[in-house]
Amino acid sequence: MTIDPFTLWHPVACEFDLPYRHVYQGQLLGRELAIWRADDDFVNVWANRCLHHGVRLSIGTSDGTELRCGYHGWRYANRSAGCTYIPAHPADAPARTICNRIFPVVLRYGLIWTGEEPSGDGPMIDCLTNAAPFVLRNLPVDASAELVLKHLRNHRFAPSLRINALVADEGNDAEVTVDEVGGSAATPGELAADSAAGTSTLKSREPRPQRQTKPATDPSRFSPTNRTGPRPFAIEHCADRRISHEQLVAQQ
Amino acid sequence: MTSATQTSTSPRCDDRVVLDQWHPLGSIEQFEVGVVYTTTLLGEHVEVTMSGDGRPLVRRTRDATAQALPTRLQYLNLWTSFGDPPDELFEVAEFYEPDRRSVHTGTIGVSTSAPRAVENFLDMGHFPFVHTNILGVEPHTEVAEYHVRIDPDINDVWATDCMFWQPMAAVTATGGQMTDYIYRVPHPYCVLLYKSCPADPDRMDVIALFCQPVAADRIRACMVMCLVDNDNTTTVIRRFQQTIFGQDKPILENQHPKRLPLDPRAETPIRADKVAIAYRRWLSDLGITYGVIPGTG
Repeated sequence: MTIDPFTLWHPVACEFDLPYRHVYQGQLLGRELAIWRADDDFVNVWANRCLHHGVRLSIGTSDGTELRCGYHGWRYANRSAGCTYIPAHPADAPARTICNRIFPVVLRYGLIWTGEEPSGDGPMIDCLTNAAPFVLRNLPVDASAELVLKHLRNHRFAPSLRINALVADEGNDAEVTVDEVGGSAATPGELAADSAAGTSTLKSREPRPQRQTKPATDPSRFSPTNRTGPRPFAIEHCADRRISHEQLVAQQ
Repeated sequence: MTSATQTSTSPRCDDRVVLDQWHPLGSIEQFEVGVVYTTTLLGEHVEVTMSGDGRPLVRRTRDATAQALPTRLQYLNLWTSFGDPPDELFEVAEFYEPDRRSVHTGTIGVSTSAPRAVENFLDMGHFPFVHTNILGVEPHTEVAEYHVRIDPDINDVWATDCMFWQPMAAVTATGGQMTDYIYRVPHPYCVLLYKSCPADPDRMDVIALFCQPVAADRIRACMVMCLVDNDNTTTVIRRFQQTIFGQDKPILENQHPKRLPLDPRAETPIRADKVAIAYRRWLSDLGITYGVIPGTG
């Protein structure tokens, strides 16, 4: 089944990538993004270009309510991305049409999710919804998403009882249960089923509250095939023009 | 062909107007006699050798039998051309005034197109934000109305009556002042600025940016100043100009697309950008395609 990646929700940053008044540079499907959290906690995901002369807004500065471009000081408002002030003409109000491109945002599972034209209320990953996932730092990989996914499918998390000891030593308020999963490599769907069944769980007693999220009432709106568990984001269809190792071998 | 065998050299220039221009290859004094220097112009490697009698030899590297390219030594730079260049380079009379100081203030690589660098040079609105406390400071951010014209005889773009409040307009400045500017674009990739001279109110300092187009989106910026200044050492003058350009460079390298879009709707011009609008239209009228994204109209 062909899934258009432009209609899906994708993670573009971790919540901890957005410290106080920082402007984070993200990228999705070939487009650069400027991602920043205003002082009212709203997370903005914008095209990373000042409308004036195309300078990256991620080298601009946030004053908590507006993002200011580093080149000519044009200011863009939290939420609307409308231009509020052009210093070269301080007496004139900027035209209403000067408004940067904004993208929908959902904060869920400790990640910032967005998309070009995503459908539904946000990603629904059942095993994460009822757990308290913690987010590792994101890891750029110089390979096609297809290749990464292929290898991840063959990778199994192999924890040991040592983890329990580490958690206890640090006095963390977490509980880790490790059971043997066994068997050979599973598909992502099987992995999800394993996780959901609690064969490998990591719980925190007080889950971090998620901001700016509304529980989706109908998960099937997001999931076209109505599968349970995590969906790979149709990665083989993403606009990544890098050639995979297999394709390279095939061409030689 | 697989992606592994593709080379990374940029495509050669097929823009006739650009090929027929003189292009700078850097400061004359950087070329030591007898040493073979290599550099890149319009995507092609060239070799530069300075002979003992001060005559330069410039030719394409790819071919040992390649013919010598035309050269000239002017405005402290070595210039060459791949095409049929005009007999004379644009005239800047101030360089021939005996009581002036001509200083090459450096050649700096920048990952941007020549037209983006020229347009940045023509821009006053960025002074308070990029050159804070030197060429501008808030709240003095207004770009007042100025005039733009194309000289019908020499086909140069001129911006006149430009005024901007500057806290430290030059090395010789002692405090804030309203500075007068005249801008002139005599060449698609070269731009000159005449600004009021703190040392002599009747004359103007000249600052020039000559871009060596290494590729369509990569330049070496050759900077020259021609000043009325008997007080400051060359080092002090160079340090001032390199400080300024060092502030412009990261802005230019974070601007995208790197090639200058000539379609007026591609970006959002304001009144302060009058000269930039004229420059883009002038490039369109010249038929320039290298270093720009041509308009569709």
